Amino acid sequence: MLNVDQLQQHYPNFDLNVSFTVEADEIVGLIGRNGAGKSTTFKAILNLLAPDAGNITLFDQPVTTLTPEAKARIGATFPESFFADSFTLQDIGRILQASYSGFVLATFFANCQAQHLPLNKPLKAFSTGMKAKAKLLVAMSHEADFLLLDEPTSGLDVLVRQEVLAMLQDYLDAKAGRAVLLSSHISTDLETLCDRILLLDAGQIRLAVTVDELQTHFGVLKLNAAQYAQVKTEHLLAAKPRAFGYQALTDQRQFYQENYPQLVIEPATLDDLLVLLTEEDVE
Amino acid sequence: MKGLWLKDWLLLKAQWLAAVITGVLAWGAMLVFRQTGIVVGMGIASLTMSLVMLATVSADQASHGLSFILTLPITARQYVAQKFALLLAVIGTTTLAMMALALGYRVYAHWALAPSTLLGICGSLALVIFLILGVTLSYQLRYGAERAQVAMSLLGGVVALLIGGGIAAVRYTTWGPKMWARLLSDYTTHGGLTVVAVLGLLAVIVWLGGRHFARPLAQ
Repeated sequence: MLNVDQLQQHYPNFDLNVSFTVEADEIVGLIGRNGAGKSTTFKAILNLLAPDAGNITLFDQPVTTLTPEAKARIGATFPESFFADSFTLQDIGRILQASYSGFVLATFFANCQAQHLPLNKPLKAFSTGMKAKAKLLVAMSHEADFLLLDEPTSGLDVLVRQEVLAMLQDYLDAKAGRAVLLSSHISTDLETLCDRILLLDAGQIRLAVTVDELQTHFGVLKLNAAQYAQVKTEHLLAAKPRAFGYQALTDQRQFYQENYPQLVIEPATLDDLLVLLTEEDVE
Repeated sequence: MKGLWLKDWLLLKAQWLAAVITGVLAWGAMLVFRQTGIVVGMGIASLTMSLVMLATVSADQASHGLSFILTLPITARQYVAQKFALLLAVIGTTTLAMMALALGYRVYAHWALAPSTLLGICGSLALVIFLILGVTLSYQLRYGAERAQVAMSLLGGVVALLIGGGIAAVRYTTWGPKMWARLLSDYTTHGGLTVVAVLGLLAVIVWLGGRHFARPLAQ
């Protein structure tokens, strides 16, 4: 569905160069620290900036030539960009009805009310959580085939995050062929929802892994200096000095469990990937 | 595109008080200044309503909102074209309303003012306002509201310089009075037609060039 091929964007202190795909029925999570290039990648996919090089196709068309009809198949959210704060959800519903052929006003209002969102209050009166729900409802309101969600759970408490993720899961379950690319700082959200994770660091994709692979094969080793000197390092993806010695990441957890039973080895989380892969490489 | 028009209509509708105050001021200008009030009233009405229109761009651009709006099923080219069409519609509607008011007043107050002259005055003013705001709109679409305010101030300075320079040329040069006399002669012979034609030509240039200049949009 989405093909990003050698997308390059150069800034004075930052170079983005990424390639990846998102297939139909797939949920892909983009994880990375602030400034890693997530938002730049999203903007390029939405044709909101002209990249220095590379090709991006969506629905088998270059994003630079997407027609309004093709754009109607995209739903998007941004952390800090939405309709003007003076609009109410009633206003927004009317605007969406005039913009999308697949939009049903009554369904949108019913969904808003199901989420306890007031229809006649301006957005400026909404809490962060209410705004996040409203953005997601808008993105999902017109039966989009591809959702691009930049930090959809940013700033939300755990209960609202769960509600937002449940809304998204329901949407994906409702129809086959839909795909999602989303970014989040909250790794548990991505592990819960995504099929595949892309780790972006300093403009490069450092790791592409399915959540199943992550949970099955990846592990974090805690080693003292002597242990670190002894273990085979060819299966270590990264290692970082710690107070106790070293913390290392492997994609061959079973190898170390079988060959070094004395080591402390734990299943790796996305936070581990982020901390270990974006700090320094194996020595 | 329908969605963009509706969005802007909802934003403009919230500014109804500005429209009422502007209408009252324009009516008052004619009451106080009589025929000269047409120019004053037209200026106030068109400028105020057009600034209200520019506020719809500011609302779109606030908090990076344009990034989201451009994910709607529209292209950047369509967005720019719609804003220019809106500017034209606002100036056109305001001008027509002012002309209707002035024509009514003309009958009521028995002004010796030909409808064609009234049309020339209102048309010229509308074109001048379109020129000023067309440039401002292009600049705001491309660079955002803050830099557009600077551009508008500079434009005002240029206009003041042109007027001041014209007056100085008439007073202190030999060619200035000749040119002024020729302009007056043309105006007497052809009415406001030459002025309207020149302003119209400039408006077409701003219309076409401004739409091109405005992309890429500030987000």
